[in-house]
Amino acid sequence: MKLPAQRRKYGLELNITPLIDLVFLLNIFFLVATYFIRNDQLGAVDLPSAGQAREENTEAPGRLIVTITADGQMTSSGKTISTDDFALFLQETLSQHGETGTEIRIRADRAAPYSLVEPLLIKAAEMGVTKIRFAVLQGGG
Amino acid sequence: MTPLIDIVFQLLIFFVCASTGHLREFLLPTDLAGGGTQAQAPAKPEAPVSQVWIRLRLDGDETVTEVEGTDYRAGDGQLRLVLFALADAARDVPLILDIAGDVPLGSVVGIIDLCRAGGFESINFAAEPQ
Repeated sequence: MKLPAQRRKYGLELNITPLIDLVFLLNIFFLVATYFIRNDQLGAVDLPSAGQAREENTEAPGRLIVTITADGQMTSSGKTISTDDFALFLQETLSQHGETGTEIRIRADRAAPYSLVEPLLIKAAEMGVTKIRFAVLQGGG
Repeated sequence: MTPLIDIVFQLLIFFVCASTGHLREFLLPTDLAGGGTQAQAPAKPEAPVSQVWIRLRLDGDETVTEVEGTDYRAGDGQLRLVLFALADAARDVPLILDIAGDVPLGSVVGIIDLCRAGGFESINFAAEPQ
């Protein structure tokens, strides 16, 4: 019995391989773009080093990150803020998460004077927030 | 198989680009003592060890650390020995940092790091009354 050499094809045959490639390429593009945008918002500072630095496995639900550059600019969530703005943000975070759930993370340049950080610590102490973390690089000590 | 290989290489390129120049940040915990701010006069260095005062000030471009009346310059190995000895003798005694406003934060973090390494359990900050 002679078998047909080629099967008859019905309908359209669409090769979706390039479509999958394009979808994943766009996916990776947005991943990379988001990564660089997020880093830009955090701000580049030369962090001090500490030998006792560690990673925190559990993060507080109400985390307030403040970045202080060497020239004295204070930013949070990509926006320039003052000490009064910081107090407002802290109050809002406290009202949502309470004292135990609120954490202040200070990312300050190693050349930034202590006079820029002291008001933040005073505000935190006045409001009953005790969890203070300094962002540092591993090393030194 | 071709799309899978493409995806693997694209992911590889993504992680290479993302990790270039990225410095991993860690945290140095500096929990404040509970109870808000407290008014307290600075203790004289000659007083018995009920609290340890460490004063930081800027002398030119150099940070000077004063511990129990003795000045130590940056990079002085004696400071580490003194702090460790103090921590061994009085680990649970409150440590109070009196830092001048112009001291760079790098020096402040260095002292906090040294105190933590020594084993001090309670690190507090002195502030001017407002």
